[in-house]
Amino acid sequence: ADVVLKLAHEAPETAIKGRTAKMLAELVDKYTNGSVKVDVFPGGQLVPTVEEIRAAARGQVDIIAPYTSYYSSIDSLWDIFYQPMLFKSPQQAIDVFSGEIGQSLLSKLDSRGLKGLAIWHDGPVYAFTRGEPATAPDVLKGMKVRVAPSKPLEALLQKSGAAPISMPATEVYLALQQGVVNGVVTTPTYAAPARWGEVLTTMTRGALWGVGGYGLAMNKRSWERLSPEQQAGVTKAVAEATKWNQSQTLENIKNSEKALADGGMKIVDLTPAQIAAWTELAKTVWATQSDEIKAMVAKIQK
Amino acid sequence: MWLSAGLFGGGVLLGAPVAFALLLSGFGYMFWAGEYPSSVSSFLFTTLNSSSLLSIPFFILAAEILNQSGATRRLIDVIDAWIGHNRGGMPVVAVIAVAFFSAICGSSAATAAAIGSVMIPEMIARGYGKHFTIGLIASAGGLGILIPPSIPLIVYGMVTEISISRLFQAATLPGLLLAFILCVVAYIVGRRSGVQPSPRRALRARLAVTWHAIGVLLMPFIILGGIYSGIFTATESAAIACVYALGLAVFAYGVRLRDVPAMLTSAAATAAMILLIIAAANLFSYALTSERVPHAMFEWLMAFELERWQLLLGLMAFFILAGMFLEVISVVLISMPILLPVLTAAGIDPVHFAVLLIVNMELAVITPPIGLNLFVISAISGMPVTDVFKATLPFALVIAVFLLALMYMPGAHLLLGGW
Amino acid sequence: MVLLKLWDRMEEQVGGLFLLAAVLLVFAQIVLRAGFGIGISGIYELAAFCSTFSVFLTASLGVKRNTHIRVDLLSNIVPRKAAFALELFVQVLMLGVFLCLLYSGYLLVEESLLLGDHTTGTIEVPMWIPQLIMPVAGLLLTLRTLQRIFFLLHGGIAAVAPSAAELPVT
Ligand code: NA
Ligand code: NA
Repeated sequence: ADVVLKLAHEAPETAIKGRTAKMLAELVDKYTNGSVKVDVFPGGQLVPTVEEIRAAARGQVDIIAPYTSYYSSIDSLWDIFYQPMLFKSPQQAIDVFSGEIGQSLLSKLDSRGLKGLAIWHDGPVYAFTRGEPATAPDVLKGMKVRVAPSKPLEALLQKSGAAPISMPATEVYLALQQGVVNGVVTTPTYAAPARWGEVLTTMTRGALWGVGGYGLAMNKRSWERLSPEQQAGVTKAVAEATKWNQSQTLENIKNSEKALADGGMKIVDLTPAQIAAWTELAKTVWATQSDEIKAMVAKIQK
Repeated sequence: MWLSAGLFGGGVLLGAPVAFALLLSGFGYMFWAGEYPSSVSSFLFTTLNSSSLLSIPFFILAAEILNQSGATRRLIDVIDAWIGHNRGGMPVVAVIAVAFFSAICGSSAATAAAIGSVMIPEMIARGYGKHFTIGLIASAGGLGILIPPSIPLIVYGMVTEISISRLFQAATLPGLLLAFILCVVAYIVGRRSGVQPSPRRALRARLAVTWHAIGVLLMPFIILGGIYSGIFTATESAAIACVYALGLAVFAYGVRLRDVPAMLTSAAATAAMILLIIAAANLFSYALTSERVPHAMFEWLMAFELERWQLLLGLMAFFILAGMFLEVISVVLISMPILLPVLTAAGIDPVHFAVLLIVNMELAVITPPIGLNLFVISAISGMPVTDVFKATLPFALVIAVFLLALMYMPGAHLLLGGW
Repeated sequence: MVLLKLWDRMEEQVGGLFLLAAVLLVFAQIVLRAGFGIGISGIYELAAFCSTFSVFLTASLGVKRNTHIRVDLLSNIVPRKAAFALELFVQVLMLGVFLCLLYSGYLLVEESLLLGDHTTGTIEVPMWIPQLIMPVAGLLLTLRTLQRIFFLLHGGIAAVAPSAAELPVT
């Protein structure tokens, strides 16, 4: 191969992101007639997750696909993924981020030395509890809920009277088991393989606390070094891998939910009235966001 | 890859501090690979900033406070009072003290240093051989990472997404068993040395000494109890150890507040040396990963299509080699992401494997060129690093045999299953 | 001279204080969570910053006291004169490494200012602030090494004394 690109990500090879990344590498090889090789480093073996965006910006690695929340640290617009109760379904999120909104987020990475390529999906973010399902904000009152650092999600938890707790994912299982935390806000696709289902009792579906996804981006200089033919090949490969990712996403969510249900988890679907109550509260969170995010929210609601 | 190794080896040989020789090699590699110069400082910063490494300086500080406040001394007194009067009892006291301290502290270097700084002068003064004493304590110090809490197991759990408490549980019995085996070895050698034992004490005196040390004796129960009941996480337990030790020192053991800054400074100095080595060693392992060296080695190993038992043996040989040149945390960080799928495919339980790996890493801390326990014990005993290494060799053999037994003895897997 | 004394004094105390701050932050987080059901994201990050500051601010103290872990293989077998030359060479080599670190750290801060990234969570800290420690560490290490080279050149062979006895190990 003329060019070797390093793709670093933190997920296991078997997770949906790992599989999509592997497929991307194969497709790039195919569509550039072997002139571009993508070397995949899964499991965070090359650079730590928190370092990925930086490493790609300076060209230490060429391609990355971190959780969208990491992009919030350089551009708060990416908080759109974690505006609670904004998305009605995983499918809607896929549609929104393959459209104009996704494109504008990706193109804004340009000023940071990155070429935004695509948004890959993971799963919807739901509230999981040990005990009563989170059917109304009141249920969470006084609960300690583990959440990955995210301002809008922490704000909604606080507004419903819960305490947002941040702790490393590996510590959550025991913390739940011992009642140090009583709930988590996460995706079923994360909860299932982490076997949190064993220590959680309910999952509340119907209102999305956010959308789990990844931003695929490439170092701009690495991109510009490719010949026009190679760029076209990479673009084609990205499009096809992304399409595969989207087609797998819903299937993957269904499998994870089934695994959780088989493990004895009660999955509760919210009634329209309950969704409305959550949305009312969420609106007070949206109201505190920047004007640009508010504009995006308005657009998505339409 | 050869460039990195050469610069590092050359630097160390010339007498450059280990951390800075690694840094030199890191800059060399980044320069050679044409990477942007900021990546070195960025990498150092990010490595040190990870929450799992935070527990290292904490455990070192806790050990320092326990030592300076006389708490370690009290702990050793208790063990000595109960068993020190037997012939050959003193070395056994040392091993039990190390094992007990290991249940408070997650770092092998801090454990070896804490017990070593009290026990090494004591044992030598009583007439035990210098090589035996130093070798015993430098090697037993490895229990610090096997008996929970354990920093490398915390890192292993973070990399493999396995519950850290499950790993801790799995490591408990093997840790206690290895401590027992080292006790037996210490007893046999100690008995033959012909050194006079401590005077036998009356029950009353024993109880008095025990009561005297009750604060330290309770510590493992607070630390491990807190972790297993989920009040604090394994990483956070290191901070609890510090606060508890500080409270004990100031409120129970008469340490004056104005003596505290000196403890802080001293702990910070030790922690800085160890953490700098770890961070800089991570640069070295970045170079290896980036050049796909571990991938190539594992692929080479896989190509033999080994049976499960052969694969385990091959991996352990590989880790002994890696453990010579790399720091324990680097070993876990670079190998596990690559190895995890291999283990799963071969039907090896990653929890069992964690225990085998950590026992293996007990060898890593006492093998040159990078062995933290060698450095630390050399520093407190004044014995050159190479001599400390020679002194540990017989004990390294014991640990290696124990590792083999854990892998192949029938029924050993029950030991690894935790409770 | 007063400035030098102040620098010595600061170097000795500041690392320990940052370490204590890190411990207290993590402890506060546990107490707030377990005792009061309050969670503030970002405390852990602050504690990690404190610990990193402690490491890099103490690193130069180790250079000054010559307490960094090293393997004295060669310097013990060669004649004293050669050992002196070797020590001088090593110090100059280290000076080069620390200058690289200074430059690398400077570029890192510049990069963070351009990238404009900050910690995620309730406590939001722009990354360039904690990262300032990298060029500062490079600078301190450079200065201490220069000082050591200066002493070496003035003290001659007598200055090449291993000082492991001073080593503050727990
Ligand atoms: Na331990
Ligand atoms: Na070693």
